[in-house]
Amino acid sequence: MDLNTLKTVMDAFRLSGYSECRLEAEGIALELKRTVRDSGMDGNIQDSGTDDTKETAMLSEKEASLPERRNARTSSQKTDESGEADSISLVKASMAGTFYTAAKPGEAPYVTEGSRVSEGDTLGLLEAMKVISEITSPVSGTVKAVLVEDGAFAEFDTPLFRIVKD
Amino acid sequence: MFRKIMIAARGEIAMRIQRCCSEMGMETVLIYSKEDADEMPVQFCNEAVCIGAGSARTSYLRWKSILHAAIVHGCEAIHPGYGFLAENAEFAESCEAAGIRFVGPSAEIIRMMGDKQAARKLMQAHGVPCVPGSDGIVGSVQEAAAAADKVGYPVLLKATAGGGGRGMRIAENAEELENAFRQASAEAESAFGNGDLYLEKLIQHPRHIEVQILGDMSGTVIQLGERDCSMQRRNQKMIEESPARCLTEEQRGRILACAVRAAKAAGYFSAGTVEFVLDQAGNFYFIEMNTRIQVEHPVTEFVTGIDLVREQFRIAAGQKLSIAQEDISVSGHAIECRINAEDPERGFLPSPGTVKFLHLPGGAGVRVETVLYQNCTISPLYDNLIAKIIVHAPGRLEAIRRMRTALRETVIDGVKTNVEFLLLMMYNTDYMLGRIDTSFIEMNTAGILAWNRASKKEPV
Repeated sequence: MDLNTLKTVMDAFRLSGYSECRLEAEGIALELKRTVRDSGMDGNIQDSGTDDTKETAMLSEKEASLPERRNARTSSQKTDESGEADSISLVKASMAGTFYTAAKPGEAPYVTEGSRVSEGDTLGLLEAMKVISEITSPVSGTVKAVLVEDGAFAEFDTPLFRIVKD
Repeated sequence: MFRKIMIAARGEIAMRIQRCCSEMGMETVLIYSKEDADEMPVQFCNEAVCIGAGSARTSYLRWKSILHAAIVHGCEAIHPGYGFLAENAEFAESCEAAGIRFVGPSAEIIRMMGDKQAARKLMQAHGVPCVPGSDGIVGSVQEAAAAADKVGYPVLLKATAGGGGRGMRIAENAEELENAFRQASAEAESAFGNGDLYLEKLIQHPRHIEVQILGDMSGTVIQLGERDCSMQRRNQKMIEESPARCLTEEQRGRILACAVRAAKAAGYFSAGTVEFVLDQAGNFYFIEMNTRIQVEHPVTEFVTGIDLVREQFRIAAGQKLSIAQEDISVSGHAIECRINAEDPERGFLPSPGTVKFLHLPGGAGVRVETVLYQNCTISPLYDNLIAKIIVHAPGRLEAIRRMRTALRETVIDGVKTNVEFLLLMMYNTDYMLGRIDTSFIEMNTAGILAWNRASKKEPV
């Protein structure tokens, strides 16, 4: 299964109402699960308190070459500022609003994991009552993680992006 | 009735609204600033959304973020409490446009009553006595002088877009008028973006009497008695009570009828307060209308038995008032003391910090409204009102005794408060005899504090 097909499957799952999905095909086994915010513990990538569901994608070892998705259970990094290494820049929401990863719905996101950014580049948008605020990168580096789902509401100070500084 | 509402307020009033919603079975979503993350209401509301850092400008006044959060969280109404957005017409309008009910009057009413000169004109047109003054805006020093000559000095120049005692200057005589005019106008321009002034006769040694109003959307308006809020310091109320014992039955009847007339003239609905000044000759004059629930509302709740916040929700949901005018009766006497984190010994300097030990009073006829808890932090970024102690008793003297007991029991260690100052006031002869006016606290603070210090010295 190539990366694009995998992405299609994951998008389809995200838009569906299902909470779990298991797929075995073409040499990989794929398990997708949706966790609701106040079940609290499992698989939350960040603890911001956004009220949308989050997904965890766990790939089995069968297809080791696919990039591993970030998962708070497997990673040891904390998501608050004190836990961040000096080499990481955590970009937080400067206001409360709806978070958008792209300039317009349907367009490609400004950045994804692995994107290289320069200081001042637009990473995403925050919108409240038609007032749009651009989220710009405070550093030059590589985007390590996009922490909030496109279209989800983000409280003030919610971590949105993790960037590895150059 | 609403099922889910947003509370766009902080501190004791946020908790007040939360408790009412809890009783009424409504879910609550509280908005809060990062500075307030450890506040009590954040714990007790069903949901809490952080909408900004600290300063009011970047949080509690960010109404677009707040309204957006309300929409995203499925809130059917927003209660703005008092202060911040409570009298923001643009916010009220935007809520309604977004299909969310603003718990308060309409944007038009807020706008109209927020324009002090326009409100005055409306009142005059409906036979509500207003402080003698200019006929509209005074556009120049000459116009001001002509108006001043007509009503007689001393006069007060006031900003039409103003409030909270700002953009105001006194002129004792004709010589002072020009300076007063320019200063008031400049301050008004800078504070409110509008330097227009109107002129009023300065009422000397006034008492501040206000009337609680409730109106529903079918046009019914009732009054729930008056409050005497003359005990003020720098235009901030410190002690409020109901009924106002300085009024004769006849005066009371006239003021209450006037207040209802004023509210009806404005087409008022929801909870509101009509404010008057009473001069030494017993004449009263309209000064302004507050189009929100007020800090001192528990005083009226105690003497009438009516839950004003509950009524606000009922009115906002389109229901009729739960009581008729003839069912309102005022019973006993209630006093409220506002506890502020301030140091009376140092000019009432605000005293933020951590509350290391807390003990609040209780018992029959004692009500405490606060979000204090042991080890909580009082932020320097907001108003320093930290608690309200309200007492109710069959008579005024009994209420004063009950308040003395309550204040004596109150312990708030770690920050300076005005508790002891209020206790001293409860023993002050002039206060007890009602020989007070709005300048009383300022005129007598030094004397009261000196007496207090002297009384603590060891006898020689």
